[in-house]
Amino acid sequence: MSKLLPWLFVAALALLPVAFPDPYLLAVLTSAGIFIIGAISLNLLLGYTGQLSLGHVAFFGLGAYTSALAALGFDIGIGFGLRITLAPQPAWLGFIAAIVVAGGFGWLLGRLAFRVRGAYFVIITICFAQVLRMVALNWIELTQGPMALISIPPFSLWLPGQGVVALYSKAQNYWLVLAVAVVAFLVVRQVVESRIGRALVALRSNESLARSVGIRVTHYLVIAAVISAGIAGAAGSLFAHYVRIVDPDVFLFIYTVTMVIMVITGGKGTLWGPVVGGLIFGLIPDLLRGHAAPEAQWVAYGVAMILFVMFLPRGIVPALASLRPRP
Amino acid sequence: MLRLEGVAAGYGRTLALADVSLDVRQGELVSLIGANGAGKSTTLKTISGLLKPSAGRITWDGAEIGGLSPREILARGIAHCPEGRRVFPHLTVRENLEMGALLRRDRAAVATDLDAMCDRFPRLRERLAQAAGTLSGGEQQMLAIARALMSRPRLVMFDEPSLGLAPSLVEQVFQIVREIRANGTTVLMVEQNAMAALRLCDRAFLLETGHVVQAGTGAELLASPDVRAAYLGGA
Repeated sequence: MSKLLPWLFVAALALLPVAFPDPYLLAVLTSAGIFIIGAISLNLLLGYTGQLSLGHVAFFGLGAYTSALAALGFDIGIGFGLRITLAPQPAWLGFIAAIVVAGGFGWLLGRLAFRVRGAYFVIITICFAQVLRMVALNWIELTQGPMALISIPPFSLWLPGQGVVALYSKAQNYWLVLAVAVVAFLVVRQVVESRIGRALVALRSNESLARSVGIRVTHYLVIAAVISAGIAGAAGSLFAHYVRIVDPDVFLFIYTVTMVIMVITGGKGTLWGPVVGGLIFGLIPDLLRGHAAPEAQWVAYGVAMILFVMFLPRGIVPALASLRPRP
Repeated sequence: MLRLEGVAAGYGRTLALADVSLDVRQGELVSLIGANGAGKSTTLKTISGLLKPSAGRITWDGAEIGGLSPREILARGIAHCPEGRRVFPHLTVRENLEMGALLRRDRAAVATDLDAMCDRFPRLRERLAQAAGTLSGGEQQMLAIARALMSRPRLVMFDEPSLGLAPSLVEQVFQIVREIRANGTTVLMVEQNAMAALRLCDRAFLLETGHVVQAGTGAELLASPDVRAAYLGGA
C-alpha cells in the first residue's frame, strides 16, 4: 500500500459526516469504529504473538467501567469500616484511567496466563472475562450490578474559541472514535515495526528457537498483552461515554468472538486486517437490517463468515496483497 | 571447558536422558552419535537451557550452569543451532542474522560480523532483504549456522546439520564445521550420519537410550566392532 493511500482513506472517513450527515450511518460507523479499535488491539496478541485470548472483552469492559466510575464518582465500603470515595472526574481523566487499569490487568493476566500455552491459555483468558462479569453483576455498591451505570457524561473537549464543548452529537463522537482508532493503529504499527515486533514474530513462528537466541519470550508476550489491553481499555472508555450506559453485558463472550472474527477474516498479523475485517463485520449486520428479517440476517452473517474462512483462510488483506504484482 | 556429570532430563514424566556424562575440551570438535531417540538432541537442549536437568551437574569453565535460562547460557558463550525448523521464516535474512547477535551490545562489531558472514556465505548477501522462509533448505541451514556464529560463541552446538540436505550440500556443511573449529571455536555436534561424524571429529560419545555407552576418539569408535555393527551398516 502506498504511503499516501491510508491518509486519503482517513481523510475520506473524516469528511464523511460533512458529506453524508445521516445520524443513522454515523451511529453505525461509530460503534463499528469502537469495535475496530478493540480488534486492532486483539490483533497485536492474536496476530503477532499467535496467542488466542478469548477473554479480550475483559479489557474492553474494564475500560468501560473504569471510565464510567471515574466520571460518575463512587463511595464504597471495603470492610473494616474503611471507605473509598472518588468525586466525579472529567471524562478525559477517566479515559486515561481506563487505559492504565486495563493495561495493569493485562500485565497481571499476562504474568499468570503466559505460563501455559494453547488450550490452557485460552481457558484462563475466558475465565478471566467471566470472573469480571460476575464481579460487575454482584458488586452492586460499586457497579450497580444489572441496574447498570447510567447517565454517564459524554466526552468534552476544549476547542479554541468555543471553550469546553461536550460531545453530544453523532458526528462529534464519530470524529473522536476515528481519531482514537488512528492513534491505536499507529501505536500498534510502531510496536510491530520495532524490536518488540520482531521478537513477537520470531517467537510466534518458533518459540524454542526464539528462546535459544536469547529472546525473553514471556517478557515480550507480557509487553504485548499490556499494550493490547491498554488499547482495548481505551475502546471501552469510548464506548462508555458514547453509549452513556454500562452494564455487565460489556463482558459478554460474544463481543470477544466479534473481535476475533474481525481479526481473522481481515487477516491476522497484518496491520490493515482488523480495519478491513472490522468494517465488513461491523457494518454487515446493520446494512442487512433494512433488507431482511432478523433471523435471515444472522444466517447471512454466518454464511459470510464460513465463506471467508473457507476461501480466504489467511484473511482478506493477505489475499489482496498476494494479488498485487511484486515489485 | 564443558562437563556433564550424570545428567538426567526429560519431557514431563518421560525421561529422555538417564545418565549422561561427557566433556568437551577447548578447541575440540566433539560428536554425539546414536540411534533415533537415544537422547542426542535432548542432551544439546539440556546444555543450552531449553530443558532443565532433573539430576546431575553441568559445568562450564568450572561453574554450574544447569538450570540457567537459555539467555544466560548464551550470554556465557554457548550457542545452539537446533534441528528441524532452523530459521525464523517471517523475518528477513538480515533480521535472522541480527537475532543471533541479540545479546551483544557492540553494534559496530555486529555489523562487521554480519558483513563477514555474507562474505563467507555469498548466497545470504544476495538475499539479505528476503524472508528467510523463501530460502532453499541448504540456504536455510547456512543461515542457521551463520546466525549461531553471530553471537561469537566459544562453543557452538549443531543438531543434525546435514539432515534433509542434498549430498553435495552435506559435504559443504561438514567443510564449514571444520572451518569453524579451525578458527578456534569449539564444536559439539549431533549427527545421524555416524560415519561422516566420526571421520570429522576429534572425540565422540555414543548414546543409547539416555546413557553414554562408549567414548573415545573418532578413529577408536570407527574401529569399534559394536559401533560398526550398529551404526555403520555392518563390519
